[in-house]
Amino acid sequence: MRLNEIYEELKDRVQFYCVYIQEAHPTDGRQSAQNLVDGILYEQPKSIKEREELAQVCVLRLNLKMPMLLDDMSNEVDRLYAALPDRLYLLDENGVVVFRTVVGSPGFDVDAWYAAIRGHVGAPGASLPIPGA
Amino acid sequence: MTEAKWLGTAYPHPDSLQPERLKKMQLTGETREEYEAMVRERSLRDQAAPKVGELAPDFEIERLTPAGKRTGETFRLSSTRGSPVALVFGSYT
Repeated sequence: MRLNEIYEELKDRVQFYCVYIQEAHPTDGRQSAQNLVDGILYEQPKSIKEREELAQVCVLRLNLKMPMLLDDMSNEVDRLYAALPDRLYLLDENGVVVFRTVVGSPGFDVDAWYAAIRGHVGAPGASLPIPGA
Repeated sequence: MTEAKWLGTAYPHPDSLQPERLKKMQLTGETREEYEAMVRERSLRDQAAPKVGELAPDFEIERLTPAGKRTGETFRLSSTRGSPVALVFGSYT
């Protein structure tokens, strides 16, 4: 899995966190056609316990390796970062945003995120440093 | 014709939706009005989010175990200062 490969390669130089937020495509919300095909049918959790259970399903099914965090039921972190449905950010050593993908699932660009991370840490083979980094 | 991105999001304008997307919308029962409202809302939310060059807002939330179980321990973003931080936001669905 791509996210795991990136994590394994760069985890010594970058802190990775996966923030589990509210469901993007629950059965009682904006359903996705692909999830209908795949049978991924879950209601929006109504308690932190239910959200925790879905986070566990997610970690196990996708075999996610990076450290996991759980947004609370106020969805504060989702809101702060306009994260829904899914989104990637890179912050520098001072907590300043260096890179972020565009809002919306079609903008979930793992390759661009990976290039930004490699550029920022000056990983061997990185193409160009991020301007201003 | 490609789908032109709209309102600074990854989503196309409702007038430029391609057959594949329209088929998916038909499958899920999403109307054009619902689609438009969704994109407008996400665009609006995005205006308040930190942009490149801006300080990322601090937050404090619970850590999960490698198996996804709650730990009772909290994580504070500002505790990571001194190291770059890569964040993945998402859900199972």
